[in-house]
Formats: sequence, C-alpha cells, structure tokens
Amino acid sequence: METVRATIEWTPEIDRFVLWNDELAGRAFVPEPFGDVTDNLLLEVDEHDTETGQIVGVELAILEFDCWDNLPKLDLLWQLPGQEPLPLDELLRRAQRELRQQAGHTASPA
Amino acid sequence: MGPKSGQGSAEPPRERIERLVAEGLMPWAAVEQAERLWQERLRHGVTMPNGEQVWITLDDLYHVIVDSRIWRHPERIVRALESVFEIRALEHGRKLAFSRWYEGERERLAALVLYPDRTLRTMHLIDERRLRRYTRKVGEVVWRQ
Repeated sequence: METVRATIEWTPEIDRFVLWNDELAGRAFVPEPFGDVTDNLLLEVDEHDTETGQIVGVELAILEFDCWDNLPKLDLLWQLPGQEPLPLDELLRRAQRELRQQAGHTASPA
Repeated sequence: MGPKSGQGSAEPPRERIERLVAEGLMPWAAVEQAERLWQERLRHGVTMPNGEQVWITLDDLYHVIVDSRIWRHPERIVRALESVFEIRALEHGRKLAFSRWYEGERERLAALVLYPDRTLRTMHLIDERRLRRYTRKVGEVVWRQ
C-alpha cells in the first residue's frame, strides 16, 4: 500500500481541519463530499480541470465528526512527521482525540 | 524542512503557507498578491448579490489560496462572492453558496461554505457535474437570484 507524506492544517477557532497529502501541495483540486458537504476528499485536477485520480487531502470538521461509516476506504497510508504510517480512519480518530484534548472539547471520544 | 513531529504539528493556515513557500511549492509573489487583494478588497467584506456581506479573515485567505487555481488568480475569491446565484441552508446555521461567472468565454463555478457569523469557511472551484450533485443533495434554498 502506498504511503504519502502528510501534514495537518487546523484552525481551532472554527474547527477547520485538513489532512494534506504534502506530496501534492500547491496543486489544484475539487471536493468530493462523503457525508455533510463540509466533509470532503480533495481530488487533484490537472491544468484542464480533469481529475488525475490522486488525493490531495481530506477536509472535515474534526472535533464534531462522527460519520465514520461514510469515510472512504482508501488504498493509502498517511504519515505525519515523526509518526508511523496509518490508514485514514486510524489517523483521523487519533487526531480527533488529540485535538479534542487540545481544544478542551467535552464530546465523548470516538 | 517540515512541520514539527507529533500532533502538535497541526499547522495554522499561515504557517502552512509559509512552509510551502520555503519549500518552493508556492511562490511568495502569489502570497503577496493575495495579501494585497485582502488589504484592498477583502478585509472590509465583500457583498454578495443578496445584499449580505461576507467577511474573510487572513486565515481564511491562507486556507483558500492553497488551490493553485486560486493562488494564481486570487481575484477569483472576489468574483466568486460577487457572483453568488443561490444559497442553501446547512446544519448548525452554516450556508452553502453557489456562484457562477465568466472569464472570457470560460464559465467558472464555485461552492462556498459560510458561517452563521458570515465568515468564509472554505471555497472550492467546482464543475457543472458537482454543482448538480450538490443541488440534488443539499438542503433548503434560502435565496436564489
């Protein structure tokens, strides 16, 4: 399974979270909703706006996200700096726990 | 160069942009152009055709310009907001706005997510197929031109 170098962008004040595939940073992309329209896979497009099949990132409201069954199963592992490569759902569940703690969030853990 | 390890590596939008520039993945000139646009056009809000004003913070700007079609043409943020033709209600008081404008003969479409306080959460350039899917799927129309 392919492993991609990943980073997280987060704006805690509005819970705007993006897991970026940093190997495709700065490319063009279109959203592919997988639940609420604010939860999206971000799919790379080329200069003709044609999808390339590459995933640029995943955006969602991480603190409130609970639609785990809607999360796409991807043939990719995501590796944050200094961490082991993880499947998308494991990485997001871990990020959710840690960011909820950081934010002092009171919702029950996923 | 890269973000620090650990979950603390979650970067605010500005830090991410600065890192992408430092890594040669985005030109600094593009960031400066976007910041100039923010100073001149965005920081005081942009009025949509329904009369509502939308506020764009610098963090919103740095978040939105990571798409190369926007950092190459940051004026598209203004065009998108000024060309909104339909607004739909989302959960938690959020709204989804659809926008259409022309660049020469080329039609552009965008989907914008707005917060109840009328700030911009995100903006995506989309195609006609996605627009149809969104409008089939997403809630009540609250305004249409």
